[in-house]
Amino acid sequence: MLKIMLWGAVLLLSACAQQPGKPLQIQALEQPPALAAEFETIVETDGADQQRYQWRFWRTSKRVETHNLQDNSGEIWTKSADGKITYERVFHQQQQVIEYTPGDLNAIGAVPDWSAIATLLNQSMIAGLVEDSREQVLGRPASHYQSNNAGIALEVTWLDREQLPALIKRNDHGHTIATRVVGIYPLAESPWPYQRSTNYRYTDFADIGDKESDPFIQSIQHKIKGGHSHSD
Amino acid sequence: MDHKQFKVIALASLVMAASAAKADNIVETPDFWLESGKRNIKAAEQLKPNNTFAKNVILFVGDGMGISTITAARIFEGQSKPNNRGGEENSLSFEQLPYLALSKTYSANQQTPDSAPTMSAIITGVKTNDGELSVSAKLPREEKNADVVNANKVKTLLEQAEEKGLSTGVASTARVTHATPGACYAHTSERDWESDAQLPADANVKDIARQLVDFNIGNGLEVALGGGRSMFLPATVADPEDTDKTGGRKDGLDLTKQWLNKYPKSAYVYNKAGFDAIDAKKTEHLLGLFERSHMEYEHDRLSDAGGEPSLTEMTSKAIDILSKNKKGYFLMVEAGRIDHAHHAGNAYRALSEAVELSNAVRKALEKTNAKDTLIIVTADHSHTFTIAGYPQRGNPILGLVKQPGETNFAKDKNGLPYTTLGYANGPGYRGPNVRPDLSSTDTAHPDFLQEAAIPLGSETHGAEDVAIFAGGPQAHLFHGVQEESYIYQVMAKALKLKPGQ
Repeated sequence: MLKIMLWGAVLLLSACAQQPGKPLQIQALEQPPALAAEFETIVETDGADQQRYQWRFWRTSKRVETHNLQDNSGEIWTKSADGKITYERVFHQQQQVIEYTPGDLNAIGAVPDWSAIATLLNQSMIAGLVEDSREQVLGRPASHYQSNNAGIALEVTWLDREQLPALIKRNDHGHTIATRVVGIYPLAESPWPYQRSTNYRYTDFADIGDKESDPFIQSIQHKIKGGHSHSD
Repeated sequence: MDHKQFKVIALASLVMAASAAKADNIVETPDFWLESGKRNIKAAEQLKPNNTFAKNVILFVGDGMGISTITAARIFEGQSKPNNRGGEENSLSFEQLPYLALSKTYSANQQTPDSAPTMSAIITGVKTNDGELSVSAKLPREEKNADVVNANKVKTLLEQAEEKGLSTGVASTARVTHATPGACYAHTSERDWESDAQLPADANVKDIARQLVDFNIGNGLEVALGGGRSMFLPATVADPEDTDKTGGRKDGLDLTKQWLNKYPKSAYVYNKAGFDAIDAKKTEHLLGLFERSHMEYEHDRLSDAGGEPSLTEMTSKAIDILSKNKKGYFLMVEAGRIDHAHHAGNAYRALSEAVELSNAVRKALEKTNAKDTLIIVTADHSHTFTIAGYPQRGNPILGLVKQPGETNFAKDKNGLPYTTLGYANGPGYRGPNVRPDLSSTDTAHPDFLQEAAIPLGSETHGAEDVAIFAGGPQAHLFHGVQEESYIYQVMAKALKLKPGQ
């Protein structure tokens, strides 16, 4: 799910220097508020409700975890003291984890952007957004931003204190992906515990190629981060 | 002819070629080819089989280093040299060894094998099933009964060397418990059982890491260098480098401590500083585990927080420790991450790993004498890696195809350029729509993934033969097309060991 948000929704937006309104500025990136949130993502084409996902999100300054409630899988991003990022694809049903070291991520051309991982918004999305109103979401102050470029409309409601979007809605010629927060808590008060993974079986991404006869690996080949070049 | 003679000839050729190229850039006249051919004939005529027995054997394995990888790595390295003639004329260090054969890599049960049966064939002389290490093909995969596994063990050359009083070692950029190093000292029906955490609850066999530390033939391995720290440390102990993570063992054993307790004058190191501080003269048993899992790719190695030795440095240190034994030694060195980079569809890293293997072999050639040391360089299996199109001489090996005399890139049926290097399958698949336009893409970037024809999350091994390069005692026995298990026979003969006993 997060992959859809982070990698699938990259927009090619031009600078909007001539437009009025404040641009979206992410603050406290090094120490964003530790929190847990639940989101709903709806994918529609021409107004028809096609797919709906519930997913959860846990964030600290060094770790981001998601859990897709539909397929009971998730992702964990961890930032080390020297800024290197590791990634884990977690399959809770099967109690299995595919682990990507920073070297593995480089080798498949995946260059993680911690800001995008922690805020669900990458720089190209933020670049064109301008504030047009203020509102309250779940009793929390928020700013509403919009952009429109080449027929691709982007709408973001940003929770100022939490440094997290309450809404990301992207419409690309009738195809709409809308992600909306439905619950949010300080991490210490989260009603959703981290998914236990200490007893799970860990497999290095680098080892997948030697597990051609492993039924689990065969079953998840299409779900894992395989890679595309960083530049095409 | 010994290793040093070959180096002199190769260097002389290189210097001559480079100088000529610098002078007028048109050295490749008919005379050039005829003269260089004559020199090579003369060198071939001077080759004399060394029928003596070997004191030492060093076996280099480029995991997944098929012939196309060797060719591309040769060009990749060659194009980085000053005054090159395009790079194609370059030779990797091991390509200058005098003897060559091809190796048929199929396993007992698969046409295209994995590293477990292939290394088992190389190190025991017996082909087995995929996923199994140094056991008979009669043993079912994932057999959990130790008595059944023991009844199907097949002796390894490393074990035989220890029985004979030789020193032994393994060095790898993969985990030291991974299939290639593991097959040298362990016997198991499942290559994935690297620590007890991977063993089924009802299994009574030993995991691979424990087999390394409990190894009780001769006086045990003198050298084990590579990755795989998590297989040796308990889950209750923080990793010394990645302090937010722990070891992986569930049985509470700290096998690094067991290594130190077992062997006098032993050492355990986990980073470059510790490795550099090891005095080979005073160290009899060295365990080096430089990553929780596999070591870094050579391209990424210098940015590792804890620091890691290169394959060349590990080879050099291993030889320093092992060569103290007057009876001789057996050393297996694996460039384990050529395979991983290919699986990821990343040619840059695969080629830079192969070049580092070449550097390690060069170091071994420098530190040994061809009169008493048999050096073999081979691969366990190939990959689906291809060098294609009709690029002009000197075209960047990682670049887009540009044909001779053309100013524009060669185009496919849709008018789009394509790279010289590619894969038959793997993560580099860009479909299902039309291929991307790579005109302005930096295809030589270390993180670029070459295109693949068939979409797979991980690129696969290839089944074609791989090369065996050799020099030293009995190296002349490498000729023609051989079963992969033949490599063991030559090593056993060179060390005067009875095959299979």
